[in-house]
Amino acid sequence: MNKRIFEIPEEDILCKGHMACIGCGVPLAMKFMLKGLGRKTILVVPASCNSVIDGTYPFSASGVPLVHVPIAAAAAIASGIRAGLDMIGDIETTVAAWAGDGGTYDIGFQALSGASERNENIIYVCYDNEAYMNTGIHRSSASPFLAWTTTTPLSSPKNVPKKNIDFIMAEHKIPYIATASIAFPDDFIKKFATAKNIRGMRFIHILIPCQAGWKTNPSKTVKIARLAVQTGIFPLFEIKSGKITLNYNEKDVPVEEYFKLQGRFSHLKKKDIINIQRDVDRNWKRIIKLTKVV
Amino acid sequence: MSNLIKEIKNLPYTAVSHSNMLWNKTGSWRHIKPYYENKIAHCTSRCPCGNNIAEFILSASQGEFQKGYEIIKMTSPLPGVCGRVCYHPCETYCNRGEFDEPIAIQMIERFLADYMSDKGRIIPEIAERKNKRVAVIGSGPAGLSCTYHLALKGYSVILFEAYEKPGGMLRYGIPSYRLPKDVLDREIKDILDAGIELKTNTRLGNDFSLDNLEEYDAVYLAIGSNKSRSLGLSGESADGVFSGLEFLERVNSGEMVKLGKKVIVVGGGNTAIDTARCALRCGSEVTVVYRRSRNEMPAWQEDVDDALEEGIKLVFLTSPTEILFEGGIFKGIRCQKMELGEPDQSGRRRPIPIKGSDFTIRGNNIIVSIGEEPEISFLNESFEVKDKKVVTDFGGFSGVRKVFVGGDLVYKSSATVASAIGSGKSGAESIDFFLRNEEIKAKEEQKITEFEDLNIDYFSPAGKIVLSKSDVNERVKDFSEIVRGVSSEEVIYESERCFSCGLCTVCDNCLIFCPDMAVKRKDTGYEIDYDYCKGCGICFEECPRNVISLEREIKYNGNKRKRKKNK
Ligand SMILES: Cc1cc2nc3c(=O)[nH]c(=O)nc-3n(C[C@H](O)[C@H](O)[C@H](O)COP(=O)(O)OP(=O)(O)OC[C@H]3O[C@@H](n4cnc5c(N)ncnc54)[C@H](O)[C@@H]3O)c2cc1C
Ligand SMILES: Cc1ncc(C[n+]2csc(CCOP(=O)(O)OP(=O)(O)O)c2C)c(N)n1
Ligand code: SF4
Ligand code: SF4
Ligand code: SF4
Ligand SMILES: [Mg+2]
Repeated sequence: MNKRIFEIPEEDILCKGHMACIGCGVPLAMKFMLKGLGRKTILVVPASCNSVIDGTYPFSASGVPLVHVPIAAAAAIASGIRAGLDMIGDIETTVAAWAGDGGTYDIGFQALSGASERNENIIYVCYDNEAYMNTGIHRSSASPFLAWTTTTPLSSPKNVPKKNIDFIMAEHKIPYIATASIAFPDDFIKKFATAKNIRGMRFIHILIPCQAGWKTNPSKTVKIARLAVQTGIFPLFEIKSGKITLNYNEKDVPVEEYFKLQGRFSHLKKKDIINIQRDVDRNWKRIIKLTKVV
Repeated sequence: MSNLIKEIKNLPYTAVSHSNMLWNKTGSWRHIKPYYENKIAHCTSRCPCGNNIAEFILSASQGEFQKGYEIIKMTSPLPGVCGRVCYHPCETYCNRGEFDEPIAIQMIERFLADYMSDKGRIIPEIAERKNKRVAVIGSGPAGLSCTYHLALKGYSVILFEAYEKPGGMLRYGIPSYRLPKDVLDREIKDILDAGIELKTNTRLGNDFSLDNLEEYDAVYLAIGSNKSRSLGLSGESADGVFSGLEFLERVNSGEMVKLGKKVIVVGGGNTAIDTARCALRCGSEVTVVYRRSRNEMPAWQEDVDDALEEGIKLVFLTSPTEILFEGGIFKGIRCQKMELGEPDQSGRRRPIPIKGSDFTIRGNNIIVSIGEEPEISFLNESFEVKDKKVVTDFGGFSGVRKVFVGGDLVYKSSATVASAIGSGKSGAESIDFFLRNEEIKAKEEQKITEFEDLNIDYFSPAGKIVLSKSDVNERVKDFSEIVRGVSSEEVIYESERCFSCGLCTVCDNCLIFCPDMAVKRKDTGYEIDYDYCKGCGICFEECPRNVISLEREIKYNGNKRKRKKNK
C-alpha cells in the first residue's frame, strides 16, 4: 500500500454528534484541519452549512472556540480576533476563518481581499462545495461550468466558468496558498501544519463534494474528491512566497470518470465533456509551466 | 434535556458555543450499517490445500517468517514441496494479476519453508488425545496430509506404505531437479515426528487386506494411481524397453540407469517430460513422441519449455504402431503420422492416423510414459469403481463401512500434489466427524474478495520479483535443483506488493475517513460506534481490501414509523 507522506495525528478534536448530512465531506475536512492546527485554535465561521453542522447554540462539535459571524465578515472578524489576541500577548493561538464558497468567492470577498492586502496574520480556509448549499443549492461563482443548481436548472445550466480564486489570491502576494483534498489526508494535514507556522495571510482552498447538492452517493464522497485531483480538475498545489509546486503530479484519469458519479452533471453531452477535458488539459499545462518559473 | 434548557437560560448572549454535541446520537439516522468482516482472498479460494495465502504473505511482508510458516502449517504439512511442484492456481487467480503482475505466491511459500528448515520443528498445537485409531494406507501427499491432520486432531495413526520409503510420487515420481529429496525428507520427518507409526514395505493386497484392519476405527485409502499404462504392442518385454514410472523409480532411488545413446520417450504428460529429462541426465539423446500437438499436451507448459531448452526433441502428431527388436533387443519403432479431428471427451482434439504415413525411428531404448492408472484388483465389489478409480461422496467417504478414500485414487480427482494434500485434509475432517458420530458437513460458502471488490486507488504499480533458473548447460549434467530460491529482502518486497485481499491490515483508512468519528481503535483492528455512525458507507468504499460489509438497518416495525429512542 502506498506510504503516507505525513503522519496523521491520532487525536480527534472535532467531536461526534455533529449535524452534517450523511456522507458530507465538510466534517471530514474540519477533522483534518483541526488535526493539523491543534487545540489552540479559534474558528470564525460565517453563515453556511457549517453554521448548522457545528450544532445548535449553545452546543458546538468543533472542540475549539467557534465564533458564528455574518456571511460577509469572516476575514474582517478573524483579523479583529487576531488583533485582540495580540493585544493580550497571545501569539500562540491560531485564528482560522472557515467559510463556504459563497462566503468566499462572492459575499465575503471584499473582506478577504482587504485582509489579504493588509497581510493579516490569519488562516483563511474556503471549503468549496461549489454552491450555496445551506440555503438550497444556489449557484455561486464557484459553481462549475454547465453544472446543475436550483438557480441554474437543466433548461439553462451555468454558462460561465468557475472563478479561479487561487490565482486571484496569488495576485494578492500573500505568503502561503494551498489547495487540499479530503481524499489526501496526509497532504491535507501537512499543509495545515505548514500554514500554522507561517506568519501573515494564509489561504487554503478545499474542494468538498456535497452529496445533497451534487446528487451523489454518500459513500462516494472521498472517491469523488480523489477523482477531482486525479483528473486534474482540482490540482493539488502550494504557492509559497510566489513559488508554485504541484503535490500530485499524475493527471491520469479522464474527466468523464469524475462527472459520471454526479447527478448534477448527468445532462452533459459527449461534446461538453470533450470541451471540458480540453480546458482541464490547458489549465494543467499552464500550472506545469508555472511550476518551472523560478 | 430539561436540565440543559435551564442551564442555557443562564448563558451569556454571545455567539460563542459552550458545550459539545455528544448528546446528539446520530446513529439513529442510519439506515445502512457497516461492519467488519474479513473475507477469503481470490488466491486462497483457488488453493487446493486451502492455504491462508493473504495471511501468510502479510506476515512475510512484516519479516515475520516463522509466523508465516506456522500459518501455512495449519493447512498443509508440505509447503517446501508445494513451494516447488504445485502448479500454483493461486497465482493464476491472484487479484494483483489484473493490476500489473500476480504475486509470486509459490516462491514466498517455498522461502518460508526453507527459511524454517534449520530453525527446528514447528507444528501447530495437537488437540487432546482421543482413544481412536486410524489406518492410513499409502504415504503419498494425500496419505501424509491425512495422517498429519488426524494427528493434530489427537488421533493415533498408523501409516502403511508398500515401498521402502514414504512419499509416493513425491519420492519415486518427481525428479530431484524439481524437488530435492532433502526437502521432502525434512517435511516427512516433521509429519512422522508427531507420533506416527510408519510401516513400510507393507502392501495392501499382498501383505494384508482391508479385513485385517478391523481393530482400527477408520481407514483412509490413498494408494494413488501408480501403474504405467502399456502401449499394447508386442515386444514391450524386449530388452531396452521401460515403463515411465519404473524408470523414474530407479532414477529417483539414486541409480544411474544405463541407457543407450538414443532414447525414445512416448507420451505427452508430466511423466513423459520428467522421464525424458531424466534420460537426458543419464547421458542420452532424447526424442519425445506424442500423438497430438503441443496444445493438447497435458504436461505443465513451463516444464515442456524447460525440456526443450535442455535439448530434448519433441515429435508431434506421431504414434507408434510397432516395436522393432532383433534378438530380444529393442531397435526402434514404426510410427504413423496423425492429424487432429473433432474434440473427444477430454475436450482435446482426437488424433486420427494418416494412411500410408508410416516411418521408422531408430533408438536404443524406449520409455513408455502414456499415463498411469490405479492398481486396485484387490478391492472387493462393494466399492463403486469408475474409470478404474473409486467413487466417493464430497467428504471422501467410499460408501464402504469406515473406509475413506483420497488423492489420485478418487474418481475425477485432479491428480496434482496440492489437490492430494487438500483431499487428505478434508478426509481427516470427515473421519473426525465420523468418529465423533456427527454428520459430515459440506463446507460453508465463504465470501470471496475479487478484483472488483478492491479500492486500488491505494496501490501503485510495482513489478514482480525476477525468478531465476540455473544455467541450462550446467543443469543437465546432474539432478540438482533448477529453480533458484530468493533472498529475504526479495520476499519482503514481493509480499509488500500483495493487496491483502479481504484481510484487515490495520491500515487506518476507515478510521481516518469516518466523517462522524465513529470508528474506534481496539486491541487488534477497530470497532464501530453505532451510537454515532450515520451509515454513510465511506469506510466501505475507502477500505482498500474489502474488509467492511454493509447491511440494511432494520429500524421500523411494520409500517409504523417509530423513532429509536436516544439512550
Ligand atoms: C512423474 C510425475 C511428475 C509429477 N509432477 C507433478 C507436479 O509437478 N506437480 C503436481 O502437482 N503433480 C505432479 N504429479 C502428480 C502427483 O504426483 C500426484 O497427483 C500425487 O502424488 C498424488 O498423490 P497420492 O497421495 O494420491 O498418490 P501417490 O503420490 O501416488 O502415493 C500413493 C502411495 O501409496 C503407496 N501404495 C500404492 N499401492 C499401495 C498398496 N497396495 N499398499 C500400500 N501402499 C500402496 C505408493 O507406494 C505411494 O507411496 C506428477 C506425477 C508424476 C507421476
Ligand atoms: C448577507 C446574507 N445573505 C444571505 C444569507 C443566507 N445564507 C445563509 S447560509 C447561505 C449559503 C452560504 O453558502 P456557502 O458560503 O457556499 O456555504 P455552504 O452553505 O454551501 O456550505 C446563505 C445564502 C446570509 N446569512 N447572509
Ligand atoms: S448540504 Fe452538503 S455541504 Fe451541507 S451538510 Fe449536507 S452534504 Fe454537507
Ligand atoms: S499450495 Fe499451490 S495453490 Fe496453494 S498456495 Fe501453494 S502454490 Fe499456491
Ligand atoms: S494480491 Fe495477495 S491476497 Fe490478493 S489475490 Fe494476490 S496474493 Fe492473494
Ligand atoms: Mg457552498
